[in-house]
Amino acid sequence: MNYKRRYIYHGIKILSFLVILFVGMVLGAIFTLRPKYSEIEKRKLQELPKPQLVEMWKGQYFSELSTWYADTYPFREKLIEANGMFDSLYGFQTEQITGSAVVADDIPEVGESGDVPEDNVDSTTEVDDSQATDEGEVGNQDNNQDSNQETTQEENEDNSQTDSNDETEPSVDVTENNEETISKNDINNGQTFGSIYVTKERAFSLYYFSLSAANAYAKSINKIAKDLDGVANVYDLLAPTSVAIYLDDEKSKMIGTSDQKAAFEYIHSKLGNGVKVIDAFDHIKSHNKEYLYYRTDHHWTALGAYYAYEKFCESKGITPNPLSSFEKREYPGFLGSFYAATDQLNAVKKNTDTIEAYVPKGTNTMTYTDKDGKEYKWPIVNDVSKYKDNAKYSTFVAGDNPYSVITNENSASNESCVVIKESYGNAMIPFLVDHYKNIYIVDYRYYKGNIINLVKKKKINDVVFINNAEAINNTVVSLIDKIS
Amino acid sequence: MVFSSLIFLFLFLPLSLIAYYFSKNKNWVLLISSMIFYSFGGIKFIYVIIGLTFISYIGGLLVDSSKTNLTRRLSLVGTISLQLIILILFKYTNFIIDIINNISNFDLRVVNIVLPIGISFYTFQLISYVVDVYREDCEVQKSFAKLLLYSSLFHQCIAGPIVRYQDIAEQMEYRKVTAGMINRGINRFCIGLAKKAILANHLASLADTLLPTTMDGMKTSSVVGLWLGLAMYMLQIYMDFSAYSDMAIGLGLMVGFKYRENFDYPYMSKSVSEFWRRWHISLGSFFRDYVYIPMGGNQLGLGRTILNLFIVWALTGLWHGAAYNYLLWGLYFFIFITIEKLFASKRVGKRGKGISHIYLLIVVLFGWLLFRYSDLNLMFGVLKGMFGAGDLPFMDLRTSLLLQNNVFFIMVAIVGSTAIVKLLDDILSDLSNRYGWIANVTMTFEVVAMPVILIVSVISLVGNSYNPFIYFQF
Repeated sequence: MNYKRRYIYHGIKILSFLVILFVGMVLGAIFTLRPKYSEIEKRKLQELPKPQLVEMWKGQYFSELSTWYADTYPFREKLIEANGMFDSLYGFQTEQITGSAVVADDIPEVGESGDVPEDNVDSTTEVDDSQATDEGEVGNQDNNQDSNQETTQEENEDNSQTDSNDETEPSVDVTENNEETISKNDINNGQTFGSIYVTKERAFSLYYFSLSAANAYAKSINKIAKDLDGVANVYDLLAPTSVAIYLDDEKSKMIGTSDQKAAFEYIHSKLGNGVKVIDAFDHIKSHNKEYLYYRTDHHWTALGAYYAYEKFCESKGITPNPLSSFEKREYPGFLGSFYAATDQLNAVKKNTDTIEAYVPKGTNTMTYTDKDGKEYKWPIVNDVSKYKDNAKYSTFVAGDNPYSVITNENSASNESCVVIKESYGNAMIPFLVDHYKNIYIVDYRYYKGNIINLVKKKKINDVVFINNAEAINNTVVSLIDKIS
Repeated sequence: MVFSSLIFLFLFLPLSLIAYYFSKNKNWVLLISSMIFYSFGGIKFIYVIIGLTFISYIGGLLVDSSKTNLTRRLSLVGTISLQLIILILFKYTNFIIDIINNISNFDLRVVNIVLPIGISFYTFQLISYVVDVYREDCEVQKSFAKLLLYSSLFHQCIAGPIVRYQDIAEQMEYRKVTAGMINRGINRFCIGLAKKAILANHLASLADTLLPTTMDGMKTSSVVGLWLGLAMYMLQIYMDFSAYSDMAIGLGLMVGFKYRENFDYPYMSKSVSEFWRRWHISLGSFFRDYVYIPMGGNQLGLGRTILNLFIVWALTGLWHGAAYNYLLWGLYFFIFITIEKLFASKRVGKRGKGISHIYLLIVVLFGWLLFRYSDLNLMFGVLKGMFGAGDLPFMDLRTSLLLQNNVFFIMVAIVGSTAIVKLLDDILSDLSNRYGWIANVTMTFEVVAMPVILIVSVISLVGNSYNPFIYFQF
């Protein structure tokens, strides 16, 4: 090749290399383009650190500066999305799995342990005390693994969690701000996505049984039932997650997710006589051809919750209202927590969900108190058609708030109940509205009061615990213990 | 700062390149850039590198100006001792405390020392400088700033290669940058960045998913999963480390420095000795020239040769990290190299090629197991698990899914760790010399490909904030 030509080629390459670097630099210098908050990851991005001599001396300042530079780089989310498209070139992506496996405990056979549930629980948990801390550490390790993957950014995520919660709180002025969804490493305050299994049809969060958590959970509920003995009925509803309903046994075994039915049976066997067990597992499973769980989110749909509600009615001895008697609303375009949890896999995005909600008959108004103690009037089933696509589950009871009250003057009943729940409870509460005069909703993750006092003070008849399988963990148990 | 970060690519690099190309005092630009680069690890560590360089600077002057052999020798020994003491203090104090506590009744407390980034690399560079002055392989450096530039040059300061002073002494005084060099530099840098950002980071996440971090974690593994995990780790380490050397060589070329190659497709070797001539070449040759040969090499009889090898490999292991597993890792190679020296020397015929290649890969694979696990119990657990101990299933769904999801990616990584691409490139450039149109096509391809690789690498850096660099702990 003649030298002139080679020279031109060289020139073009050097120029394009420098141009890319300079465009990158100029773009990076446009501060106004830098995002401060990630909608998809639901977290505050790293802030520009203030130069301080001590921090510069130790290097902390520079590592934060580097993180800030990358974390808030303009069009970051677009770049992440583009990266997701390359991943699909890596291999056959019909089914995928993200995250690391977690070691599950073996689920003891129900008959195995003694007949006196309460004593038994006591003794096991005592023995398990050391194990409980172990479990805590295992949980931490999960976080570490995550944070490895995110390097320092995840740490910042942790720090900024409380802040970002504040930002996502509902406010009356801007309805769109009602975004009580999930940051990637925090489904329910302390509940971490271990491993997500993505098939052609849907994504699943894999469930890992923890013996110490199961024992501790039963012990807590038993204690509350004892405290409220003769004061109120205590119901306990364990909600299966989608992996237990939709994934067949063989696959479940191969992928190493624990058997939820066996886990629930074990927990139920540990619950004392004072607790009314709502065993909804088989009933929900028998409807597994229906749309009971979201494909892109870890929650159940209102329909899934409806079947649990039917079992609740059976346990309480009342007649459930037929589904057809409710006004049904639909909000399409829901892209739930699994999208962020899988680093925005296209396979998840393909299967966007539709939120189906059933409006209670007696009233559609509630009052909720947010984390700052402010009260708002809000629809029980809210129009979320304009909400961000990952925030639409908050159509139900205004999302997750520390404390809410629904008063239904049209109710035939004079009774009242308190639902103590994480976000799974939200989809079921609308069905309960027509059976009570007053429903109090306590989200144990944010509530600061004491539920025993609440029950006594408000003369509440029924106490209903609603927890999904993954919420049976030591963090949740300690949160429940804190308010009881 | 690491090369594979946005702040390096989109702030530090363009600024330092402009400053370099437009400045008259090019060495000063490089020195200041290097100081800024290095201070990102904490300003306090600048004093370590300046201090060590100063000791070496004075040492070099003393060696050079000594009149008698005795004083020359004393100056050399004194300087090297100081250099090593500083390295040991920073890097091995806690390891030594651990050993003392284990073998005696003392209960010494572990001290809180942060390892200055790159200290293992620049200490070795400075040792080679003083020794070379002593051996009169190079002129003494009379300018402290120039010696500091040598030890702290950001291209190689924190992750190698270990550049010899004699190799770049002249280049520091006078060097010419041609468009061809810048071009090759850009190619090397972009390829290195892609190896790191696209291949190594994802390989790391695969390895981390598959290799258990606790004894308990073994329960969720399978035999195939462990083998695959270890193979991913093997590829990751190569991609990671050679990527850094690629980028260093590329950055050097952009400003006129020619560094020696540090990797020569080591996984294509056919014996452990050959592997170590092709893996981290600058480290192997350092130990050869500054430890093995001065101790007598293989000239003092078989027994002494084996002892010398033992020392060299123990040191090589410990250089990689202050822990037992690194020591064992070094000695593991000592065993194979000794066996090769004693029995198998030069007898690999044509038929033996395939077998010896497989032998090398297996030896190196299990070597990385030692490298990965500082917890020796867990290491043995994984080892046993790889052969089915503990009732591990042969295959689990997670592993088979990961394999399916990444089958093309893994193939690319394997091909990338061999010389196939280079071979193709050689054939093409050969053809280019003969046919003009092929030259045009390949040049056009390169002109398009490099920017694309750069952009894709940036995208994947943003997409995976996961960015561990294994060799930083050294």
